[in-house]
Amino acid sequence: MCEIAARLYPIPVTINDKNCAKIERKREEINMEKDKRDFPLEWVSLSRKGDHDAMESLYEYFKISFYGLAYRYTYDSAAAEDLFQDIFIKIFAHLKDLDKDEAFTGWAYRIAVNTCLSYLRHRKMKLKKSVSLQNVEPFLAAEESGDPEKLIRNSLEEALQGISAKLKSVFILHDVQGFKHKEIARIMGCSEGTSKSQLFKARMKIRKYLEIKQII
Amino acid sequence: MRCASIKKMLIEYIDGDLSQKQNTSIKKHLKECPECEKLLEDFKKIANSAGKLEKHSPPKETWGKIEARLNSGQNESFTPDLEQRKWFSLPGFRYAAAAAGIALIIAGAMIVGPQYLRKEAASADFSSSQEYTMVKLKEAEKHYQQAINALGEAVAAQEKQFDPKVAEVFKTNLKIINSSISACKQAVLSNPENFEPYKYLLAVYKEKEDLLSRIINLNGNIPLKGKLDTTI
Repeated sequence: MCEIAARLYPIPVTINDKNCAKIERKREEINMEKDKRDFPLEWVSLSRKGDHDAMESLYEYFKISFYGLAYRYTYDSAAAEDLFQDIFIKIFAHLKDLDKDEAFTGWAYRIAVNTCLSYLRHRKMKLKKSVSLQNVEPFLAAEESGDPEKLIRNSLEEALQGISAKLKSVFILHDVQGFKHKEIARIMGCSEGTSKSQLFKARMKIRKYLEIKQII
Repeated sequence: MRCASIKKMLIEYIDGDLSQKQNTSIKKHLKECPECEKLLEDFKKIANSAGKLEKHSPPKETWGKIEARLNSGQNESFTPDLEQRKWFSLPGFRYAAAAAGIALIIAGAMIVGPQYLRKEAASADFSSSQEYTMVKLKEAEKHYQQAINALGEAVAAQEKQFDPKVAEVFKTNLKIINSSISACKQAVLSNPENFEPYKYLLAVYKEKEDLLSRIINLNGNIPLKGKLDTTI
């Protein structure tokens, strides 16, 4: 990694452990500004100019992530679709406010999470008392088939419906969507430490649920 | 190291964010503490399963809806005040007002009065409230179509009086609304059992009816160029 860092920053310094750590930190800081996802950045600039093809490309690229986010905040297909539409409307309506195209992913996720949290705050959605047949069927099938992995995934979805929106946000971003705590901190507007402690709490709550169901 | 200290570092330990020294300390503790070891295993299992959760996709027609909203400048949120959206206002044209008013009552009832609809559905021998809702939405659509057709005729009769600049803006808006109607109709056709797309379709009809009403109320001096597509 030191060699890579040295190639990235051809500064005439002696590469010892101390310098290497500095370079690594600098590299991470710069990467924070960049998108970890791989899509042409021109989609962002073209979308800002109102190019519908570019907007549709961004939509296609992010639709699974954002719809998954909206769905897991609501566990209601109709509400998730409304939220999902709002997320993209806000993204395209405010794209002119984004300073750096490179920061698009984090910025868009911030909009997505805030839209979902704002919706939940307004609606004061509580844990569903009943589960629709559509939601129950895959669980029953998993239990019947005895597929332990499927069973744990389904139970995880159930557990997610019972945890607070903020814990859920960090859990989804980290464990489901693969963001790092630095990125989550930027998206959520909190410290890295908060992100880590929220993830710990979320996993503990989920674990407790899975223990009650004797899944783990 | 105590269990409490280990637990605080488990998140970073799983992510590989700790120093070699910290990793060694944790490994040593885990060998001696089955409780912390179990917690680590459970956390790993949860994180691993979370990464494999089902990837949900939005309905196919969603991009069409977003594009229609962007084109029509409807940038305000559906959420959180989905139920409080003001879709309807009174039109200026007499016949259209009557027809659109009927549509308004029916469509409004779809949104605010599902509990009453269920009662009415039972008395009207519909097999379900959803079926009844669909029938009423189709009725609302018919009334909107009547209102728009009447307004369209009025626009055609007055088109020579429109200011060209106004006419150009009008044409552009009408084109956008017509494409929105097409997108919504496609959504309705691909989801014939779902009345949500119908609500969107009615909202766009309302937009068209409003636009036609507004243009009728304007008096210009220079004629429009070309025939307007006011059909639905």
